[in-house]
Amino acid sequence: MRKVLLPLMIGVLLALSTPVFAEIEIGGSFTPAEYLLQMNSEAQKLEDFLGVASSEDFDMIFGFHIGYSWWWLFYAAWDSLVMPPWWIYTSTSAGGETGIYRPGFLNLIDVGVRPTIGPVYVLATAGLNHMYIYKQDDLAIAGGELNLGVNLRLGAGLIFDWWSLVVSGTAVFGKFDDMATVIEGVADQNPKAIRYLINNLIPSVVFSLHL
Amino acid sequence: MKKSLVVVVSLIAAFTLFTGCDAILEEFYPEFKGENAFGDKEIKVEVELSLEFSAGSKNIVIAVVPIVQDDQGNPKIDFEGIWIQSRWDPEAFFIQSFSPIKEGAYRVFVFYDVNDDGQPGWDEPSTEGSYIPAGRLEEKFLVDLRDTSETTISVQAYLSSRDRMDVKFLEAFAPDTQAADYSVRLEGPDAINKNAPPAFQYFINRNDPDNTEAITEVKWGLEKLDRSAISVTDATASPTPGAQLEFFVNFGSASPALSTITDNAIYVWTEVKYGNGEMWFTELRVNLTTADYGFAIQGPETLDKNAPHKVSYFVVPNDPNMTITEIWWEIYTPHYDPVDFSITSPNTITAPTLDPFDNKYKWMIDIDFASFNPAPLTNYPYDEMFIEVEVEYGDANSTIWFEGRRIQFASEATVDTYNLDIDIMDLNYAPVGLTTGDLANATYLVEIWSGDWMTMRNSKTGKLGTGFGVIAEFGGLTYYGAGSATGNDQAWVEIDVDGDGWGDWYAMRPLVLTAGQDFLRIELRSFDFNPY
Repeated sequence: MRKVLLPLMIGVLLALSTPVFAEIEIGGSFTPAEYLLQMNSEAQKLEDFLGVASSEDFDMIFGFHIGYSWWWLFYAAWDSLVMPPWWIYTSTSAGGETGIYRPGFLNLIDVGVRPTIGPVYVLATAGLNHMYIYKQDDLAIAGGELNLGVNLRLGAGLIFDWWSLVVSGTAVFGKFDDMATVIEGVADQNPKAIRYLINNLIPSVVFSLHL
Repeated sequence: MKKSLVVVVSLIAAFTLFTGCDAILEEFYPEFKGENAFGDKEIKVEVELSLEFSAGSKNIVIAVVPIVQDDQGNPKIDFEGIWIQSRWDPEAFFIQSFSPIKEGAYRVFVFYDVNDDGQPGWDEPSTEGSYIPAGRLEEKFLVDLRDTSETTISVQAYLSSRDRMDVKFLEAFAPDTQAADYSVRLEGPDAINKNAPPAFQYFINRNDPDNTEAITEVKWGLEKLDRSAISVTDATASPTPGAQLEFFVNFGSASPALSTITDNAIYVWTEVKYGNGEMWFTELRVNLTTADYGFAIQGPETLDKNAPHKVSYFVVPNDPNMTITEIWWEIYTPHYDPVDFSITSPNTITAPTLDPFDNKYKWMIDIDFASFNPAPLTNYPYDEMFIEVEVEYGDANSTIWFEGRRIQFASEATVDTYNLDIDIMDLNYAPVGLTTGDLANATYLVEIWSGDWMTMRNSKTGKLGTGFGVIAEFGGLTYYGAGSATGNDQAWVEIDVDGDGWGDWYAMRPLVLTAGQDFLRIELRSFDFNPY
């Protein structure tokens, strides 16, 4: 036990005390809103209901991105996506309660690994998500609660001297139990679970500047 | 440097994460910027379900669809602003609220999503042979929040088994779509004298002339405002698909009687089903009044296609105290295509014509059936036409009223035959300049009418071929149908002397025919002369 713990503690100390091995990245992410619309069951219903395609009415969803990598392997990131009102509305609709038609931020905070091999790297992270709704303080339903969900992210990209480009997919879950159930289902190749995972995936392209 | 940057970024992150950054959101969505970005308004949709929807698991969908204007000012749907909410297994009555909602115009839809596919319309269950209704659309569901200072607007929706809605209705707001419009409109009187309920005809007409899909099923009915049914014993069972869609309702046979209904209106509804499965439901709110805005179209109902001639139709208000200010008329085929005549009155008549026969001003519609284009009338491929008349009264409270009449073409081959004599009398009073030769070249028109002026039993035209003082005798005047004329029947005679197609002499004489009688005699006198 001690053989494992000691190197781990040394490693953590090194990680925190040696910023020379760490790197900060700041950038922006771009998510096709049309994909979210297609995968959103309520929004999909709308389009079916209307009987017409409305893809031209939607474009990219922008997100702020901040990442921190250290020790070649570890990686933490915060992404704040500017979600359109319809997404917030459908996300807040549940159990017969009407949703909230306002824009908002979907904050994704992930920690994981991001090994780099030459200019190529891959990433796999897990973390928490939190939705902020525009002028949330006005809303009775918010009540100051901090509702956290969980998310999983996989991605791959190219890193150059001072910038990088990453393509990633983030599966967003309202709570941990949902994620556990879905992951278990996906492992069992349950088609419903796979579909749920796909439906709740947020695909993004992230462009970052490395400081 | 990097440490300080980390601190700054972390502080910004924490601030944004836990307090949000509304300014950034406002930059992306400026329509939410400002004090009244959301408005403080709320739409409450009060949904009442009939039994078949409130029993068992049913998915009722409520949608609030914002209507905005495009660059050309045409209404269109704001796709990104649609609110939709589902109620699974709802109570018989529930309220669905949508708030906070912005200023604007919205359409509210409530429909039963039969197969849970999110689409209104007609879902055919596999276990049943009939369609199940899915939704309804009503004009009153158009909510314009700009028209009111109220913060809560309630919309009542009642979903019953006969409610229909077709998804195509939305395409009226989407100019880019080219699909056919299957909507129909219900035309007919929109007010009834409840104390003397008349019989009316209602017409079902397509809104889209390009919609040529065959209608295979038509239903109609009457309802009180509380949606309870009103039955009628004297009415058309159902219009015939393929012909001009109309139905006749004798409101006097209504149960409950209209005079006992305390509401100020009732509904006349209809629904049509097309061959391709599309459906449409529409209804007309008919006010119950104590004034009678009804009118009659008096004129021939039956004509001989082989002997077309000029016919006058009279528009007569049921209430003689009502003053007509304008009439509009048109003749249609059974498929609602206009019929082309070369010689008719103007389609819009804004002043009555002095009828020389009784020296009274009348709202007359003259149609020369011989001027059918392309002539002759035997080219006309159907055995009936329809005259439709709209009447506007001087009463500021009145609306347009509709009435229709079928004109049938029949053969003379199978009907009773009488001979007719026209006796030109009172030569001393003949108009100056009229000569025997004039009369010899004159043409005659004789019509035999039932006494109420509603039915023309027969007509005949020809050349008089004689002059003053001579009894013009000709045979072959016929009655349609069996039996004899009664004392209420009348003969209408026109003599066209100058050959302009319109009668210069008019006469109307009562007819009394008895069994075995083989001729009629009509004395035509000089004071029947038409100075116009």
